[in-house]
Amino acid sequence: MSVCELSKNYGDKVQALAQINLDIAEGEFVAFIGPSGCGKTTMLRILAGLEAPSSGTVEIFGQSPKAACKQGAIGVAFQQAALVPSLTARRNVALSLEITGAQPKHSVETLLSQFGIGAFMDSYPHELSGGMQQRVNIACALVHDPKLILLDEPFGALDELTRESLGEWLSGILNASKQTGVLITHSVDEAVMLADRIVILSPRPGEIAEIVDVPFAQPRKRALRSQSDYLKLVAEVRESLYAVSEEALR
Amino acid sequence: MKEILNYFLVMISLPIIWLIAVKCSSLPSSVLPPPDMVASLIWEERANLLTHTLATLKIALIGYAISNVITLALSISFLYFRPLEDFITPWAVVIKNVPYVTVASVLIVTMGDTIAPKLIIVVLVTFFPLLANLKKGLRAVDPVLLDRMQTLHASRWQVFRKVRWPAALPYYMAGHEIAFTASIIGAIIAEWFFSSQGLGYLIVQSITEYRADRLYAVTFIASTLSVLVYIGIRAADRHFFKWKSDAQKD
Repeated sequence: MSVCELSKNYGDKVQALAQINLDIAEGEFVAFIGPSGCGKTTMLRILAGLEAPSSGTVEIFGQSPKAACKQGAIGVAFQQAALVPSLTARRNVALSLEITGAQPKHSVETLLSQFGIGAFMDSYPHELSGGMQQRVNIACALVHDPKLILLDEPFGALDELTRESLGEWLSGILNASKQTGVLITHSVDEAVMLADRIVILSPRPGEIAEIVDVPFAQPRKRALRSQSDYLKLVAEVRESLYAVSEEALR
Repeated sequence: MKEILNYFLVMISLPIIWLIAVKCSSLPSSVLPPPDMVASLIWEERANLLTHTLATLKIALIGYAISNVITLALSISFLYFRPLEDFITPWAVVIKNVPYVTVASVLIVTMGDTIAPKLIIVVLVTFFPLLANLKKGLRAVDPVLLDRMQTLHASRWQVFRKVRWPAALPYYMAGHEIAFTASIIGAIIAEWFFSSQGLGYLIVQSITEYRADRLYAVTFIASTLSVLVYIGIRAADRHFFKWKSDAQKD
């Protein structure tokens, strides 16, 4: 995936993103992190073909995001679970297959069982907890086996423990699928736990302030959180975030 | 169950209150007939009352069906062709706010005792609440869900069938709660003016013949019909929309 000289303006006054240049290798998982309003979600929406950049280009496997969507190459999990309220968990996941016409590697039932929703397949979204809804949401984004998975703060609305546990679970899922991924997050922990690289964006207009490599082997387990290397990297990323935020204030 | 019990309580309480009113007032039975007198009349004139009730129901149902066809056609057209909504809405508002009594008189004078003016009245009475609800429902889709559909490259038809229509159904049912019962009232109003059959005709006939017992009988039948229609819609709502959360059901 290649992002070249990408900028996004809303009218004359608001510049959300400026001069973003980034290449993401196949199978790589990149997290975007930055203060609120730095254009992270705008970035994801452009990658998903939901918005057009004001200038610059985005290529996903050699084609535009919209063309990639047309081929079912992109799966998106939004912060708020995008589930049809009138469909059960099973039918919500099957809906992605029905629309894309994709032939899944695993059946919907197998996927949901792997995702820990086996016993709740026939429950409606309102009958599921926030964490379960997000698992179904991610299953909907992954079931048609897209080459690129985009995650927009998928655990943002959950409590810390659920968030951590789902992060570990997602690390295993993504490592097994070997898909290219982009994660938008506010959480430094989540970024370090999941990503191969972390892109730190500066406050508006969002520009790449720093790119941090995460050297830990995938999939990452809970024990990693207490290791000194992990804690050191989390502190470094946090420091960088403080630095870009304070720089902007000056 | 609790709802049905509450209606049952009303059904028991009404004759008791009615009886108390009869006993407490010094009004003669020709003005305020006791419930048993009305009940005997309903039994004695059951064939005649049934004929007139069916005539009213026929007008109400045909008019309501026409109203639904118009509503569906307009609300779906509004969704995909906004200028049509901008053009039609002022007309709909004006038509809705013209007193039905005046319209009914004009129509009866113009068209005579045919089925057409009665159907038009029923349509006028019922179409606006249906249109307002369905229009709102078709647009009450979670924008995140629309984003998901876009990233899956869903067709317009798929978005309508899988997302918009299910989202609109509870609103449509809410419209039925108001409009279906109103169709019976609309039919009675239309028959009131110029008709040789139906409950509206019976009301006029009872007034001219000073038959308070029949007037009460007709009132009882019309009210029972409307309440049964309302309960039926509520029951259908609960049966078909099990996927709604308790908060939404309320």
